[in-house]
Amino acid sequence: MAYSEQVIDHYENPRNVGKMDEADAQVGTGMVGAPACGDVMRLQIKVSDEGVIEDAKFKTYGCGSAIASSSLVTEWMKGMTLDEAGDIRNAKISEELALPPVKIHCSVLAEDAIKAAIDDYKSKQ
Amino acid sequence: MDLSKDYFSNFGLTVAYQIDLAALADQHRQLQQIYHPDRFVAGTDAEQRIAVQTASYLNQAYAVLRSPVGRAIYLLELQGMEPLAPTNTSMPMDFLMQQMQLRERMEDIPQAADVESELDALADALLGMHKSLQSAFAEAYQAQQLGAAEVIVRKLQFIDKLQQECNDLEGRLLD
Repeated sequence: MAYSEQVIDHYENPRNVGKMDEADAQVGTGMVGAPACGDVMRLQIKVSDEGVIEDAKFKTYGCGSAIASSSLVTEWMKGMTLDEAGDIRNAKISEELALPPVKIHCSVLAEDAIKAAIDDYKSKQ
Repeated sequence: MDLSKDYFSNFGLTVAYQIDLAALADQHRQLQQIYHPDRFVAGTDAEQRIAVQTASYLNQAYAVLRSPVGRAIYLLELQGMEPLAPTNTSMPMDFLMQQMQLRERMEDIPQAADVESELDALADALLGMHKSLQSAFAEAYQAQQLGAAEVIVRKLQFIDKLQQECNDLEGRLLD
């Protein structure tokens, strides 16, 4: 299957790969997985006292579309408020990356990872 | 053969997780002979079509039933469940952490001093997890704890994929 240019760009030059301290109260960690393809995604956000996402990191083991989806959302989320980030929908991700129907679940994974990271951050406050 | 019936019934097996794999293979061989499309070359178009459909059904059914993961998924599907639904991305946190660690471990293997023993150790660990998940599934299914069984199948599927990737890695590194 052919990947779009946007997917290949994020796959070859993933943005914001890394790990933050999970114990840090300012850090929210979201972990999700898709059994059908065995993908695992960890998405972390660092939130300022004003409730703005200052930094975002991810680590994804999975196909190119899953890596691109998580790389893309870390770029988007920086500078967003938690509410804005919580409004990111998988349809927007798959549209930006021109994901084919069989890869839509990769963008679902990224959306769910964002929600899980936000929930984790909120549970620490 | 009634293709709308479940795979187990058509193979003369009780619907259960633990099955006799040797009996399954025997039954598959016999059914394949009975329904082999070559036996129907002189038949009508309809007979030939049914023979092809049946042969393909038999192969599909055999592949599902003999796979420990495929059989588990199928049993839950018979209960109207969809254990691998792509919209269900939540898994127990400790399991996902372990998945990350296993992936990281696999990622480091090509740089290891002793690649072969690291690969063997990982393959052994995965096999152990696969087996214990299989037993856990059998127990949960037997007790009709279908929710628990579904989580186990999902875990099993993750481990199964990791095993495949571990095999692929071994192929690349040790060739």
